[in-house]
Amino acid sequence: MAEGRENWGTKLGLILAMAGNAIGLGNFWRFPYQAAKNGGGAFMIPYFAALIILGIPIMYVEWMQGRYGGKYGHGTVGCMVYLQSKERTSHTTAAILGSLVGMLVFSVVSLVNAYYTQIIGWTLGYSYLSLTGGYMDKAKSTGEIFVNYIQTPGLSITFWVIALFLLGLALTRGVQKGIEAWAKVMMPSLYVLGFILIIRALTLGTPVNPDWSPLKGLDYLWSPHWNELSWQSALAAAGQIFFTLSLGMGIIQNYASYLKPDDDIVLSATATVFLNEFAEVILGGSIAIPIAYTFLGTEGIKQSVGLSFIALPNVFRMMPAGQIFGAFWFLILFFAGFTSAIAMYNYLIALLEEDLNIPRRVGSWLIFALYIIIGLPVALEPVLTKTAELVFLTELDNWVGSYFLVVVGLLEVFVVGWLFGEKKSLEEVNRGSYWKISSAFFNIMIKWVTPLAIAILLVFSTRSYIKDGYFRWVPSFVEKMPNLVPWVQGARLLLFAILIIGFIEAYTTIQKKYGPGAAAQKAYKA
Amino acid sequence: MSGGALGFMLLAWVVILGGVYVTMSNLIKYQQK
Repeated sequence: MAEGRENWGTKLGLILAMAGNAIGLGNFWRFPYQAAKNGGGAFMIPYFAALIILGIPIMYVEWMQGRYGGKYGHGTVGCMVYLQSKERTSHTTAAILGSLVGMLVFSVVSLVNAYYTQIIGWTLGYSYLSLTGGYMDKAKSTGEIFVNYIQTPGLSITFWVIALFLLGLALTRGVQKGIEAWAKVMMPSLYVLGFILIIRALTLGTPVNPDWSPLKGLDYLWSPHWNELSWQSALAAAGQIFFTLSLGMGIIQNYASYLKPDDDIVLSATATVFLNEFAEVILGGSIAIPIAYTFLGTEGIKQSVGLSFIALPNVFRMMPAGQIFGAFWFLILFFAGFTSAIAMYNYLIALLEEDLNIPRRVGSWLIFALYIIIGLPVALEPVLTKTAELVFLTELDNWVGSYFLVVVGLLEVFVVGWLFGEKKSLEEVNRGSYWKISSAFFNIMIKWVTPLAIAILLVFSTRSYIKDGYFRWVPSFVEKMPNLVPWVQGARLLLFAILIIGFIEAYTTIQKKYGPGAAAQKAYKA
Repeated sequence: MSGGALGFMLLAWVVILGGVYVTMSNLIKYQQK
C-alpha cells in the first residue's frame, strides 16, 4: 500500500475536479459543430449509443484502474496497466504492455497540453480583449483580428505563458489545495456563466433579419437530417465521446489514483459523465449556435474554431453589452480548458514525483519549462511564417489528440476485460461503490461490446486517415503549402522523440519497481 | 422550431437532466450513509 499519498478532500471537490477534467473546450465549440455537420438531431442517436457503448464502460474502467494503481502509489498509467496485465501474463509481456500504454499517454499529456494551453491562452487573451474592447472596431474584420492575435507574440505568447504560469502555480499546492480548490471555484462559475449566456442567447429576438432568430438556430442544430446519418456520422459521434469525456488520455486514472481504497467508483463516475453531458449538450448546444445564427444566419455557424474566435466576436460587437457577454463566453472557455489542462499537467508532475522522486513544487516548474519548450513551435509557426494554418498543431492533434486516444482506450479495456479478469475487476470496481456493476455488464460490455466497438472505430479511423492522406510523407492538408512542410515534419520528429522517451521512462520505472528483486514487487505480492 | 427538432432536443435534455438528478441525489444519500 502507498503511504503518505495525497487524497481528495471532499466528495464534492472530487466530483467537480473530475467533471472539470472531462469538460473542456470541445464541449463548447466541437460538439455543436459536430452535431450540426452530422445530421443535427439525428446525430444524437449514434451519440447516445456511443455514450452507452463506449463512454460509460471506459469511464468505469479508467476510474477502477486509477484507484487500483493509487493503492500501490502509482498515478501514471504504465505501472497500473503492468500490475493488471501481470495477473494473466508474464512479467515481460506485462512490462511491454504497460510501457506501450505509458508511452502513448506520455505523448498525449505532453504534446496535447503543449497546444491546448495555447488555446486556453487565446481564451484568456480574448477575455481581456472583450473587456477592453479589443475587437470592437468594426473597421477591421474579426478574422483579421484573430490572425493578428496569433501572429503577435506580445499577445499570443504572453497570454499562453500567463495561463501556463497559473496552472503551474495551482499545481505547486497539490491535489486538495490546488486542483480541488480551483475546481470548486471554476466549475460553479462555468455553470453560472453558461446559464446567463443561455438566457441572453434565447432572448435575442431577431435584431438583424426576421428569418434569423435563436430558435431558428436551435432548429438548425436539432432538426433530424436522416439523409446525413451515415457511418461517418457514427464515427464522428464515437470520436466526440472519447474527446469530450477525456478518455484514453490517462488523466481520469491519474485523478482516480487519489481516491481512498474504499471510495465509491460507479456512482461517482456516472455522475461525472452526466455533468459533462449537461455542459456539452445543454450548455454547449444552446449558446454558440443560437447566438451566431441570430446575427449571422447559416453562414456564421459553419466554422469550428472560427466559430468561437471569429464568428462570435463579430456578434458580440453588434450585441448590446456585447463586451460583457463576450468576456463571459471566453471565460467559460477558459475555465473549461483550464480544468482539463490542469489534469494533463498533474499527470506529468505525478510521473516526476513517483518515478524520479522529484518534489511536487520543483516538478511543477520543471513541467512549466517543458511545456514552454515543446509548445514554442506551435506559438512561433504563425509568427515566423505569417500564416494562420497552424499545421504543427494540426499534425499533433491528428495523431496525439485523436488517434492515440482510441488506441489507448482499446488497450486499457482489453487489459481490464481479458487480463485483469472478471473476478478481480468486479471486486475492485464494486468495493465501496454505492452502485454496483453486475457480472453480466462486465461480460457483455467490458469483455466484448466495448472493445469490439473501439476496434471498429480504430479500423474506420485508420481507413479515413489513409484516404485523407495523413499517413503520407507530405500530408494532404499541407500539400499546397510547401513552406509549411518543415513544420509538419518537425511535429513528427518531436512526436517520435516523445514516444521514445515515454517508452523508456515507463519501461525503466516498471523494471525498477517490479523487476526481479525490486522492493515494490515484494510489497505488491504482500 | 419544428416538431422534430424540438422533440430531439427535449429528449436529449430530459435524458441528461434525469441522469444528473438521479446521480446527484444518490451521491447525497451516499454521503449521508
